[in-house]
Amino acid sequence: MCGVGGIFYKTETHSQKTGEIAYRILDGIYRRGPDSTGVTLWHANDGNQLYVGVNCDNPSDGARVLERLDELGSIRQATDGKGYIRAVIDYSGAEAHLVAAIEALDPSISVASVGRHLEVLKHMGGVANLDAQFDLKAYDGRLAMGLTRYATESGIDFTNGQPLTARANSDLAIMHNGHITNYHHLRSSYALKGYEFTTQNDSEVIPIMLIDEMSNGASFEDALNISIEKLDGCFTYIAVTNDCFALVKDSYAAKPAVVAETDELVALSSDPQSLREGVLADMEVWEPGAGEVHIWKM
Amino acid sequence: MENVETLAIDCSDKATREVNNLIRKAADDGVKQVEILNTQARHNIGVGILKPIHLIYRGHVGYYTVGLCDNVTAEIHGTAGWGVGDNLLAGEVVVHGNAASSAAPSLRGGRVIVKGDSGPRSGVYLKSGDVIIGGNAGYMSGFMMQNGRLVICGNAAKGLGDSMYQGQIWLGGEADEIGSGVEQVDPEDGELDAILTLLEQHKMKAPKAFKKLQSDRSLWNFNKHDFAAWKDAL
Amino acid sequence: MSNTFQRPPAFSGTWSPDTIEAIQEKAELGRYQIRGQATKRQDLPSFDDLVFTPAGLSRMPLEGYRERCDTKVVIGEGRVSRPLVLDRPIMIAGMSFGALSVNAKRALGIAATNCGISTCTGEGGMHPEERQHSSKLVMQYLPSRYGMNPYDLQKADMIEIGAGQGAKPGTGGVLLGLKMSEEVAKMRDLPPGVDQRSGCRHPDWMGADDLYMKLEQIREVTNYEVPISIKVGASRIANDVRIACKADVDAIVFDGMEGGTAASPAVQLDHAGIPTIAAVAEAVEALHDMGKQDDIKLIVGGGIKNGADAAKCLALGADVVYLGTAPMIALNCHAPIYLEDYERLGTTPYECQHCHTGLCPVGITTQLPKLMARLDVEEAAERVTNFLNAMTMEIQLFARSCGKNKVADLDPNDMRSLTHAASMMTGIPMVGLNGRKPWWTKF
Repeated sequence: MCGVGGIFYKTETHSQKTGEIAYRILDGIYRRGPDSTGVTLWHANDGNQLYVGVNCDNPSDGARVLERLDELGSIRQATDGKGYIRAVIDYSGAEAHLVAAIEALDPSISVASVGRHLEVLKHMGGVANLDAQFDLKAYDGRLAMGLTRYATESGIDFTNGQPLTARANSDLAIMHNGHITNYHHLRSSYALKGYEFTTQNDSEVIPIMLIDEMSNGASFEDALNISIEKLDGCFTYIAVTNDCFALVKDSYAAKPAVVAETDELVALSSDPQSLREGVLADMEVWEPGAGEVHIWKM
Repeated sequence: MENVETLAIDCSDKATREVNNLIRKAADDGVKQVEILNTQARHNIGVGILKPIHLIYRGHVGYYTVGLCDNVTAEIHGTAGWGVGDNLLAGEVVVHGNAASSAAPSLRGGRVIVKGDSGPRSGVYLKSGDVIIGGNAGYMSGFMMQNGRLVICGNAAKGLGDSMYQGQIWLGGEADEIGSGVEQVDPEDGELDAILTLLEQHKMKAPKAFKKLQSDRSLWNFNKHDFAAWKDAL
Repeated sequence: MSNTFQRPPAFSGTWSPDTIEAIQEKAELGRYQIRGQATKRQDLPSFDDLVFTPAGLSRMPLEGYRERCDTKVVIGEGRVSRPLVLDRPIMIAGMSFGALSVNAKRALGIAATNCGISTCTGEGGMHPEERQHSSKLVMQYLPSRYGMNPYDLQKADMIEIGAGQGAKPGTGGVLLGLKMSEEVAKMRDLPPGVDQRSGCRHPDWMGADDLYMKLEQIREVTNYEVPISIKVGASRIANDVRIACKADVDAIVFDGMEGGTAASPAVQLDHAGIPTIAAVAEAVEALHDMGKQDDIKLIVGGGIKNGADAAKCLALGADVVYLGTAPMIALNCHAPIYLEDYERLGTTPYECQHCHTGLCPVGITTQLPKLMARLDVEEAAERVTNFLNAMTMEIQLFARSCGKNKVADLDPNDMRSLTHAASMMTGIPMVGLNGRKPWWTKF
């Protein structure tokens, strides 16, 4: 089930800090997903830095992950979030190599995100925990989109928490509200094609489907539209890449999500109440209809 | 609180339950109207109010506003969340902005008027009364409606009136696709007058013409010879 | 054999009345018993052991019509130039002209056409009436090649290479003398009135190593236009699937031990083959092992009696269900009419298994004109159409209730098992705690 939402600033100067708005939006949709909270943050990138997030469901393994990161590249910043490792490292090698090297440490350790622009942060419970570990409120970049999770069929832990990325590609993150009912068939088809899954979460087929369609020549927008047809079940999801983000609704408009847009910003949320609390008290919102895809370029 | 004309309730420092209790008490005490301030799109504000009162919402509202009420009139100066006017038995709710999904679900009497656009499933399971939409209506509006009138001045998305039993849909614009079991018929003389008057009263622009849609009864009773219609409906 | 002695009701034990009667009959006939219909066993695990777990809070069900359920299946897509498109995931299984009367064939063809699905010639060749009445016709290619010729192969919409059937796996077809009418005999190049036996295996390919060449031959004759499947009685599924995959057929057909027949050795009906529920689970697993689950279609039959069976079969991973006995019953099989004729056969409606005699009281499994006339083609076609429609509604009802907008999206996770045996056979967890240690065992 869950709640999704976040903020994108069109302007260079922000009337409020991005992270603070994101915090309030996610806090506003806590009731929709009390199990865990996650965000995708966008960073401008001047060079070699790689943003890495690692699921570490045995918190005591945190030190080993940091050690391994240090061996692979040089760490600019790192936080052991007690269950999730956040790091920015200088790294110019192959991302697949980095991922394999980290995951070799232990079966319970998996790379949640790796990208030049996008960073995923996760923690259990509400956004206050996430903020306590990773100082979300201090973030003042252009985009922060997140999710409050209500687990339906997979486990409540770091590994299965959203946002979800796909191993095959960096800089694509998904926040999905709903339930994909044909995920067994889809997983087995994608596994045949060689895609690797990290989680038991039904949502994970979404980033993989988008990457698969785009690798067959579809544009990002085409892939989003194809997903509405190919996914079965109910879903509203936010997709973020390195240069755009999108809001997608299934053919039944089963899961709520509204948009508020001004000259300054675009804000999305499952619950307009959270936008009024989070952004501006009298924001005008509109709700996309069934089967609609809306894309914004960053 | 006797003889008070207007009671102001500021939601910002009150729990939902408190707000509703204050409204109910005001109704019990014969207060004419309540101004509800700092609504901040909260859910369930004005639920279960069963004595006559007029509610003025100064701001956007969340889910089920004026839900399960009787004899209540309301004006919402903003947008409404899912299920506005849910199961209203008698009264009138006017939304000055847009309404989200499932506006006036299972309306049992009275009127819900949305001046802007209304989302998917507007007037779903409508039982009696009027749902009037000044703008466009979303997917599956009027789904399985049982009676009453659904008036859409603008356009409608797919599945309009799908599986409706009785009642009427008045469509000013175009529908992406009419739902199953629906046919267009000619209006009778004077049928539209009441609707046009209502639109005028609420300063809503009437379209040039309305199409009248109603149930074609093909889904009233199972018919084994019409598999195409029943294949997914049963 | 009819008798006026009233047999006592059955009791359990080694020497039951059925057992005694079987020995007596063999003592008379000097051969094994042959009968029609299907196994009489009541102890087989079946689809009834599985239940669906539809949407509740963690999943969302779908409304009818607009939130409709797509039931279409295509066989051979991306593989042949004229794939077989089925409007529903149902095909009518091969029942030969010879086993059935021409009226039955006509009626089934009309019903199948009404429903956008196919019928299958069965053994003995393609009857022109069937080709005329069925908009989609599968032609069977069987060991004895009765009635086989390239022209009819070219007229077919799909070819089914028969390597066995559920009712008598590992053996060939049987058609007893009374049904070997002039017309049937002519099509099969046999003397009228003989008890026809069919070969149990193809004469010109004897194993997997030859199969791919036989397949190529059939593809050549049909210009690579139509899908080709291979049908096997459900027994050594895992290995049979591997072979079929390597041969690169377009579809694999498995017929479970509950599969019907017009004439089979009774002893085989009850003691050979494996239940359909186990067959489909094993077949799907094997397809996944081979990585062919998206490529090669799986068609499963054998005692599928309603939309619940069909939906469960599809949920386990079959793409299409194969129906034989059920449409026969919809035609009029077991109808309580012409009761004296049932009695003369020593049976009653609802119990009759006398297809092999050719004396079918309702005119379906007979070649005698007087009996054939008892089946009104239009009415029978309507009955089968109605039944297939009802079944389709049942299937999509389950799919919708499980939150699926395509019937093909039903999966094993939508079910739970009521019995240990079915759980072991299908891998589907049992309902309830399923072996988990409950809270009170901790204390």
